[in-house]
Amino acid sequence: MTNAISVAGLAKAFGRTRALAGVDLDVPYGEVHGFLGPNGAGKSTTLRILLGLLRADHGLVRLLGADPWRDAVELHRRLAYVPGDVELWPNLTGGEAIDLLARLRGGFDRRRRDELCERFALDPSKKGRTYSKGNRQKVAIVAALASDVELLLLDEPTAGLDPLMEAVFQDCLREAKAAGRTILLSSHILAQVEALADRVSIIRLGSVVESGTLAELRHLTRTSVDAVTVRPADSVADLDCVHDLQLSGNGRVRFDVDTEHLDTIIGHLHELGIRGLHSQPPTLEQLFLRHYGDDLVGATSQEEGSR
Amino acid sequence: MSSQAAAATHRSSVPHRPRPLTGTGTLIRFILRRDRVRIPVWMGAITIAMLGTVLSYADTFATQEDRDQRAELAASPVFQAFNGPGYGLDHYTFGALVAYEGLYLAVILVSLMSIFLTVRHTRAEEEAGRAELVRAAVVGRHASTAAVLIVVAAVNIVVGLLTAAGLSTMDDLDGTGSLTFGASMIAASLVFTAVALVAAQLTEYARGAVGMSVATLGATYVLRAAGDVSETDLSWLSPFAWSLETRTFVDERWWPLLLSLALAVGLTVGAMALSTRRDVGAGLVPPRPGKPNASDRLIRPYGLALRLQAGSLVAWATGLLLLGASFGSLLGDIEAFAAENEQAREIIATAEGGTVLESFLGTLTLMLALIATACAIQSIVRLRHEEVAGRAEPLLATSLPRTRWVGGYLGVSLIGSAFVMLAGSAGLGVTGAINQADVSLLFTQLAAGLVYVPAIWVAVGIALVLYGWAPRAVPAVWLVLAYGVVVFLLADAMGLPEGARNLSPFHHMPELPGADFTATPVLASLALVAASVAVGIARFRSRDVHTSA
Repeated sequence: MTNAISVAGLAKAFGRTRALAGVDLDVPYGEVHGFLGPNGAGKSTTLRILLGLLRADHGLVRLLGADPWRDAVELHRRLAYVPGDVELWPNLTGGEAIDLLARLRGGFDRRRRDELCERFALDPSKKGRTYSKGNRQKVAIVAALASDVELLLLDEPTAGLDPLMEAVFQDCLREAKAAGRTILLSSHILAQVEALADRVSIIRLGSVVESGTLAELRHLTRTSVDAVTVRPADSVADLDCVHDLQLSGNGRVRFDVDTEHLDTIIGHLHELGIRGLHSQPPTLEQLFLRHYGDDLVGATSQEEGSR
Repeated sequence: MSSQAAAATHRSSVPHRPRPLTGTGTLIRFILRRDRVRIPVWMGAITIAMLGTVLSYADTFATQEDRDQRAELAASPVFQAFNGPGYGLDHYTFGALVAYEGLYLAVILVSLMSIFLTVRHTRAEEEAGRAELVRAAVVGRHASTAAVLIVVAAVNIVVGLLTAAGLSTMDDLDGTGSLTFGASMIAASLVFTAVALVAAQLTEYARGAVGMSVATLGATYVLRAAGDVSETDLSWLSPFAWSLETRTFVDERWWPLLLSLALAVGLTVGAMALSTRRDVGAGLVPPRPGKPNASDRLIRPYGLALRLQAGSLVAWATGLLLLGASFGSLLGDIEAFAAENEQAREIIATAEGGTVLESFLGTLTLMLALIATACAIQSIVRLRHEEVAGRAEPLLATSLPRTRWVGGYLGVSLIGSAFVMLAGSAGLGVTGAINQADVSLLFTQLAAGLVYVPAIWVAVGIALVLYGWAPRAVPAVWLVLAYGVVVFLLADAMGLPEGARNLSPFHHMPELPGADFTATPVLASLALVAASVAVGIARFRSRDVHTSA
């Protein structure tokens, strides 16, 4: 068994709303895997199925070599979960909630818990009712990180956290990764995923549309090129792999190129005599927008049902 | 057009006077829109319940002879403890009977409605954080309170008028009396509306505000009972007494209702004053820091369920203990009284046999059991609240098995309701034993209470089956209690057949101490509980965990 998470053809419907329509996802042991998608694409549903809280309609799901529905309790000893919307018991303190969650899981390390509270600047003696959104989120994060587990399932874990705490969180995840833990990180914060993830899967309308390392994903998309050539570069317009061409006198040319043809185009520019060259790989944001930009309307209408 | 523009510039330059009621009209429409089903259901249910009760009186006490005999019974301390001091008993007309025996039921029903509606639109909104959104809009400081008050008062007036209209169509009931009846029920209800408004300022939690208000309702009822039995003026401290003192259908007088109105206005002003002294969303008592670490007990599966409900269970137990104790102190010379009054014997003594006292104790015990069932149901439906609030999910994502998570709440509900039932029985037993100078009464009462525990648990079992199979229908378990109350109060009046009565889990239980103990219904109930718990949990284990309703 080489994959910590392996999901194939996963489908789930709520009544007549189809939340997942064939999700495929493989996460090897020790990997930090970014799970991206717009609201309602099926990220939380997938995670809840991995937790055995929801039952899959179809498909194969293996988590740490076991069945998340049948072996939920055994599996939960080996994983920790942070939901995107943490609800606390109004009359329990944050510290009590952390202890409750972490000790019920097992492998609870009190020293580590106190240290995490300090790092996240969380006062554990306040009642759950009085915490802000960000502080409720910290309670779940501390509870998850205070246990010694193999797998972290994080569903938009830092929603509501300030940038300082976001940095602390990223440090914690790097430490977890260095300790050999597997992490599935569902997130909207693309910079976070870009900074942490080894590989990324993009889910849309209930199925994974793209999966791979950031480099691989970039390869499938366009690189923007800004060049100044000796001879006018009008001829690049004839190439199929060039898009959004802008020619602006004095030899300057800007265009996007399919990344797999980058070599061809640079050769072409070389023949024209390169004076200046700036090329930029697509950011994750551009990748993301490319997958959603064209169908945001369809994606949002799906959102209602999968809640 | 130009004057509007002028007003706009004027507004930005000159600080204008505060408008605490801005937006009240919009909020009223908003409440009516949100409760467009709930309010008519409340109004219909109360009107139908009241008119149904009065119709059953018309059936039971058709002749003057029936009513004269009833009047003798009505003069007894036990009767007065429940219904207040009688009036017009020397010539007990149908109208006098309806007002004397029906008014308090009407007051309690309509007051409960007012309390629930008021808290729902005040503290519950603040607790959920929605009030913040509303208050951030162009809304005056007191607009929400005013809107709730206006809606609840209007609903009260409609219920009162509907009831009055229904009553006035019956023979022997005149229009003035019917209207006085309606006004008497509304006046007391307005007091408890204002009590709920005050309670909503004091506590941060809607549940707490409802608890305080209902406790006040109960306390004023008991205060009046104590005053009426001891024949002191203590009763005049209770809005219940003020409503009855209108002497509806005999020689009406409206001035006692002014006391209710004055108190309602005073409390409302108080609530509004309190609301300006606190932050939106906060109570008057600032939250204290708590323990930074969880105790070992909290980590045990029942630990959390118990911690969340301990306060509520203690409140239930205390309430039932006091209620039982006040019942017990009223036993008095019921035996001698019944010997003189044939109708009293008929009413109190059931077919089960036994002495009058024993039968009466059996009836009181059943009443306590019905209240303890409300406690059991309130406790077990927490499972669903916790689930849809999203608080079950992180727990079930730990190595806590679903069975043990449910087991915690189940255990607290079962043991807790048994504890509450025994507290009520102990209260009844202790004061009853003192009253009757018979120590054994305490032990027989504890046994009598214990016998009802399996019946209480049947409701919990049914809740669990619903929780597994049809979680959205969990609140329907309240119908089990409602049906038990109907069979208890109205079965004879409605002429309910035995088969229909048997659908109530309470009807099967032997009414100790009057009746002999039979093991079969007890064991059958326990078997039913075990089976429904097994089915409910098995089904829950195979269904999705919901994170929203």
